[in-house]
Amino acid sequence: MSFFFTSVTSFDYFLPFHSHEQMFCDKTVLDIGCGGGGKTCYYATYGPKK
Amino acid sequence: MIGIDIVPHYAEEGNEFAKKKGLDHLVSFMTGDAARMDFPDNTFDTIIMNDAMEHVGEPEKTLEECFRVLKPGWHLYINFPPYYHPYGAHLSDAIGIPWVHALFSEQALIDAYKKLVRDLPDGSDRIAFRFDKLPDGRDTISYINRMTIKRFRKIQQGVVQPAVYQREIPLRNQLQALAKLPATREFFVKMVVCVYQKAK
Repeated sequence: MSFFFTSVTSFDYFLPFHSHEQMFCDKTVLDIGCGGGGKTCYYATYGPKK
Repeated sequence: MIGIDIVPHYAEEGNEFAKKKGLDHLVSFMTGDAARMDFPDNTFDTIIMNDAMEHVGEPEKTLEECFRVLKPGWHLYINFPPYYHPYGAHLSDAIGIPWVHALFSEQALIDAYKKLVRDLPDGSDRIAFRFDKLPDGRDTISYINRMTIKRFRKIQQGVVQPAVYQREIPLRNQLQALAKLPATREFFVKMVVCVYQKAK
């Protein structure tokens, strides 16, 4: 994770509902308010669709 | 996968970053207003607004757009720190006093922030990023929309899609009671979490 950014990932708050794989793997994903792309690239490691 | 942000230079930065990390075959970045997106209806399986809801200029319109471009049956993930979070004014890079925005006027905060960052190498960028002028000439903190829990819940009343998961995360587990009390809740919740599923 520190590969992308060092802060605790606030999207971990979704984990009780959905895993990261359920959120991103093989999904067509839109990240709104992506900033410089650190978090978005982290999401991309879960294998979304191009 | 697409990342969108209204700040123009982020698209270039994001695309460079993705290339550097070898992820540019999966993700691309663009500049755009989430309240007015060019995507066709029913495009995305997942939309995430991670620490974004407190920044959008038109939250209601943004949610409408999200549901327009989200495919039926799929999910919109929202999480944001409410405005009265200890650092909800988003000025803590210079003003590290918790709840300072509940104690001082907006103008006092702007003046203090400008004074603290003006001699930094990127001081003018930080100021331009956070503040704007109102039509009457006064400064305003334009970087955030002051999204309280109360305001978000009111906005949700106008959303027809079902929220399938909702949480208010307390600042600390020991502070759970304060995060539930109506009088103190806004100050002791660190994150509002909500997942919508677009009806099929």
